[in-house]
Amino acid sequence: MIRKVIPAVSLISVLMLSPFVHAADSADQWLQRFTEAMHSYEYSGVLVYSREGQLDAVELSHNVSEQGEQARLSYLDGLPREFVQDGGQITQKISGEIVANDRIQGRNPSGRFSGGLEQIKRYYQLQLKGQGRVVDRPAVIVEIIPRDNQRLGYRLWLDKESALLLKSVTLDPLARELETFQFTSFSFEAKSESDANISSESMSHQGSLVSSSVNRDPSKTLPWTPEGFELFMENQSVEVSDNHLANMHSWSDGVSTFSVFVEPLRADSLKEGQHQYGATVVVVRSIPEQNQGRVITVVGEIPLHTAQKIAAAF
Amino acid sequence: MSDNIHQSLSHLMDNEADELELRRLLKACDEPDGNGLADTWHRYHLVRSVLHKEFEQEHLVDIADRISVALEQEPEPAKRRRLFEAWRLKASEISDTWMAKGAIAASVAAAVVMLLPNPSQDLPVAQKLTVQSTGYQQTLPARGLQQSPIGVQRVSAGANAAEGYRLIDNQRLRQEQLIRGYLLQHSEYVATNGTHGMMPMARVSGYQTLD
Repeated sequence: MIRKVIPAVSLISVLMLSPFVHAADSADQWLQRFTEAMHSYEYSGVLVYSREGQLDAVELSHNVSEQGEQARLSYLDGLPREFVQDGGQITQKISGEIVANDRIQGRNPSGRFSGGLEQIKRYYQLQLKGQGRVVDRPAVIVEIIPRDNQRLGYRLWLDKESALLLKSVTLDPLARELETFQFTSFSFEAKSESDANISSESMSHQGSLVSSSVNRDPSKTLPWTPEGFELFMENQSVEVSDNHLANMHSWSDGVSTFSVFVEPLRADSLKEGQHQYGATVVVVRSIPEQNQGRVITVVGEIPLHTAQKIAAAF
Repeated sequence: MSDNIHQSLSHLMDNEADELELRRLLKACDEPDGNGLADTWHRYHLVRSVLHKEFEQEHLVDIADRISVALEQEPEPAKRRRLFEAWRLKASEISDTWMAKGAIAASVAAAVVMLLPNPSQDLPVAQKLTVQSTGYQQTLPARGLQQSPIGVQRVSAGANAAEGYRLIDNQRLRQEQLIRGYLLQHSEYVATNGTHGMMPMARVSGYQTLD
């Protein structure tokens, strides 16, 4: 009996593995396909976001046209709020009325891993973790594991057919789950080759221009930066509230991102402290008057101790 | 009344009074001119509330009368006291080591937990009061912005919960509104430049519940 079962089991496992091996190849290739797909497919669905003590549902859609990429995210619960993205522009609406409009400068070419996969692999290990099923679709599980404890890890469920992201879990350096994004309904449509190519070319072109010009300025450094992070965007006088302006600098290692806000110290500035919301940490440090009174706010999806160190180095 | 008594009263307010001070205070309250002391006690609380900017209530709730009534109705306080004394004696015998102390602390906690669920039945007054005083709650969210009743403290006095007063900590609210601004700006950057497309904007919803 057992003798008969063993070959049968091994035959089945070979049969199950073979299409996977054939189609998938390596984690690198899956990630490459994923970052391309996220910019060249039209997709939409209902996405749930959960972190400790909170669950939100949003409707998400992404379109590609000759003008570039547009995306729309609207909340299905609570205040009828939505964010509309058109290229580097994000418009915030409440009940259809525009309440804010931000132009995000500096497209990050690493956002699509283009040419940056080797760089990323210096700080993260990429691994295939088998297969799964999300939104009734077969998926491949890819893990992006940090090589040190200065960044977070990600477990991605990529649609086997399109390589689009169906589910993503953010992990701390000890591999504990901090937050989860997951589609609960999903549909997609491949765009014609020409459309996708036009948009991806224009995007990466724009991105590399901005990032290289920023990177060459030697004065744009932090007192301490975790290894592998580079300045990808800086924006003077970002409006953080009705009457608060701050200089914003965003740093990325191609996967994880943090922003540093620097502003003059005022009586109504943020108080010193630290906060954590899922994967996002906020560390506020105020530097007293005697020392050019400033407030440093570090916000990002990085470990708390990393954010503390960045703020403390000022 | 001497300044000493007032100082002890102040210690009691800060939860720092020792047993001697407590006894002296209780004794002073029983004396003919003890009413003044009770009033001082009330005033101290009033002052503290005002200083902490927590005061927004229509009237002070005085539960002293209810306690006296409950005390009178208490069936056999003496018998209960004897039981308690015996228990304490036994406890002190085995409390030589830290381990034993820990065990006692745990068993006291367990006893309180076991007694709490049915407050209406025949518990000693002290425990009834414990049950009632759980009406004094601080509903501050454990992790800041995530959930709704941010910065709103509800404080109530026992049965008068509905008439209790609400405290709104404006300072805290304002801080959280400010933090939302930074989080929003950062998330917008990540949404336009990260690998996850617009997904990171879903993080913002949690910061936004309170506008």
